[in-house]
Amino acid sequence: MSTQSRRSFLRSAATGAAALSLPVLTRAQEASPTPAPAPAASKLPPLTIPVDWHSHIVTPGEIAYLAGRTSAPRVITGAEGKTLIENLTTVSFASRAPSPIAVSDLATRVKHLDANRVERQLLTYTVANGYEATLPVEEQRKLYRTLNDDLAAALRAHPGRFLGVAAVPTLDPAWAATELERAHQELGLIGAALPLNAFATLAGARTLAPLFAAGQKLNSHFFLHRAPASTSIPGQPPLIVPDDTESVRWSIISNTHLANGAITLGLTDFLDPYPDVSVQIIMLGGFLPYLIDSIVAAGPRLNVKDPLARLRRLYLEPGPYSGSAGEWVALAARKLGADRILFGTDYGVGGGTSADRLASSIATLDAILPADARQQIYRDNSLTLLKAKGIT
Amino acid sequence: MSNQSRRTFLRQAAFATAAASALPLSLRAQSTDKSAAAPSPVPAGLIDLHSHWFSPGAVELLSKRAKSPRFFKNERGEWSIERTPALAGAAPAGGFPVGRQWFDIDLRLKHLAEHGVAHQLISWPTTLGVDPTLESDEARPLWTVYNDELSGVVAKHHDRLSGVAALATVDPEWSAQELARAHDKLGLIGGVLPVNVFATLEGAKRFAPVFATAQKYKSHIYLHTGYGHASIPGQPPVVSHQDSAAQRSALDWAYQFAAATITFAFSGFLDAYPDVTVQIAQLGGVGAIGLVAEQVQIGAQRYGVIDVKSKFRNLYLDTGALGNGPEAVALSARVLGADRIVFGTDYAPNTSVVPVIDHLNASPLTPAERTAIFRDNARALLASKGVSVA
Repeated sequence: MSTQSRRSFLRSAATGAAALSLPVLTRAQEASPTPAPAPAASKLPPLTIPVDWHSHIVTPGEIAYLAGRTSAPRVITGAEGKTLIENLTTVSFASRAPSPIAVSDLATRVKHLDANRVERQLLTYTVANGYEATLPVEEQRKLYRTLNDDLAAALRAHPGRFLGVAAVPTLDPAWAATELERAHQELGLIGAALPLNAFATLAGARTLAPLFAAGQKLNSHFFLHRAPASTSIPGQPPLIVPDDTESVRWSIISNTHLANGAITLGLTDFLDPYPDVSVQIIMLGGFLPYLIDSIVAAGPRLNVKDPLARLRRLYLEPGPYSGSAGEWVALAARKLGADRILFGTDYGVGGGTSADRLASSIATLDAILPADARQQIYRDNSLTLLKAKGIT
Repeated sequence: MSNQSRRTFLRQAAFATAAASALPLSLRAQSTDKSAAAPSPVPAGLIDLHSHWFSPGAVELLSKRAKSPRFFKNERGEWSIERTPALAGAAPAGGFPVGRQWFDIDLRLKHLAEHGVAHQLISWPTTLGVDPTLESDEARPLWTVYNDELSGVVAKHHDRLSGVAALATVDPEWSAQELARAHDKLGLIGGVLPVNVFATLEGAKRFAPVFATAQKYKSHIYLHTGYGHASIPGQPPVVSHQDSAAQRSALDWAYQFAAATITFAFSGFLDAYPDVTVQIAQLGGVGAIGLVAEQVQIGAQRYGVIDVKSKFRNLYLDTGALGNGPEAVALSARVLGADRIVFGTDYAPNTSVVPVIDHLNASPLTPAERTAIFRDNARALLASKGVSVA
């Protein structure tokens, strides 16, 4: 494929898919069942992909819980009888009109997995909804427990096809640690989903030490998604809600938040006591890949010993960038090492019957990744991580 | 982190060659063909559009101040700067010294000649917290003196140096008048403003008088690191980092420059001023704007932008400070076009132009792209302002 035609393809293949990375979008756009554009035929032999590490699930319990609330965040019934989520503006999300939400259609999702040779998906709740910042902690405990029970039920209903990480409240790390233990020991989950803004500074990250101590004991996998943490967590980014050029400005806000979290987890000593905890940061850690050169060069003078090795403790995962910014994925692989990139697609936002974004993601990455990096990102890294978590 | 060490961090920021050597062999093997190719020779007659200078009169005025921002001589007799604390991060008490290259034009010209730089654009560095701190009664005489003295230097070395006038964000109306004076009487080609006043459209609109004048004179407006006066709305919050300060500051700057570049490229602000050229330092966001523009291009229908490159038609991104990362330069060239990028060294804060030359040579660019960035883009730009560079 020529450079020109590849670019044309990438542009067309990713239209719409890229939209999901931006928090200003309405849920209507996110949940659109419009099929992804047909991928171009790859010259590379297809690979079976053990895990799509970034997907979301909307559960019956979540809908029911939010429908019982009288103020946002809540689920309401729209004029045409559709269920809609009414949300609140946070540092990571600009609330607009209520947008569609529905229980995830896992049967269709399994068909998409099969069609794309993807064996499993990691399921998480929609961290970006910002419940951490908008619900009282006592409500978070109830909602998250319900979500985690539902998640376990989904795993039981489709054995071998899904993995799950639990919802836990950053406002109550002690309870979160207890719930993490239940998630591992009773629910069959492999870790927890956390809002990345909790890690915007070292001071913020340290408030979650009890949870990470439990994670170390349980050999947990932590999935870090862009989202606000509890307002009690110090050092979180300031609220900036753009009044102009909104969609484009949200992109730099979001990618800056992501990179700040990656800097804390990758460069400070926070993770040192938790060597068995695996940490996955979505969307490639935002602007992090472009900072790696400067971080590495300045490391010795800033008393950061071997910064590249420290950063390589993290897994970066592209999420929506798989389908929209293949060159960014390739850059991250060059800078951090392809062995630290996980395959992920951000499938299933908004629940319902989701578009097959697996196909467009695979086509985009096929067009840009060197064969050895593709092998690592699609397969080898997942197998290594699964083995580390005791999953065969 | 001290201001001094942060500055050093910035200088080191794009030592991608060193960074690349730290990568595992298997990763280096994944580099693109272009990056693996031997760099083309540096063209003759480089044009550096990002450099700074302190004029004697401005130093004198600021040294009379009893509090920051001010100049003073330290115990070793070196000129030092004490910046405004809220904007100086963790700058050391007592400020930090500045070397001869900040003041000495002969030293500068000798250094430029030694390294093949034929022409340099000089501006006031907007990072010292002067503009946010000074009210109009203090800002006007300061910038008047600076612009007069810059005019003198440019007149004396017109074949080697050009200049843009320092303007006051506290007083856009006066700044518009000063910009007119800069063109009419001082032989300068435009003005410099701190980038953060353009972080939002609301802030940018405060400078409509300046841009109306700029349109009349076909000015070159340079946006450099820093905050403007607190009366300008929409500026990014000042954050004091308690850990990983240097890395987080780099991220702050990426955000700040990208925010301003978005204002100029996508908000429509510049539509009324089609003859104004805008140069944005730090590559318009340390590579971030390239990523953002790529996203906009991919999602053209959703963003309502069909041709992203056309939105950057009057914008120039320079490679000064954190803008000289080889990967970031290459990405920006790919997404926006190499014709939007100009060579800038941040000379004066940096004692040498050589590191940026080295970084551009390490960037995976074609020879034609490299020549355009090193020389040809700036030559055409300056020619459009009436400055001929041999």
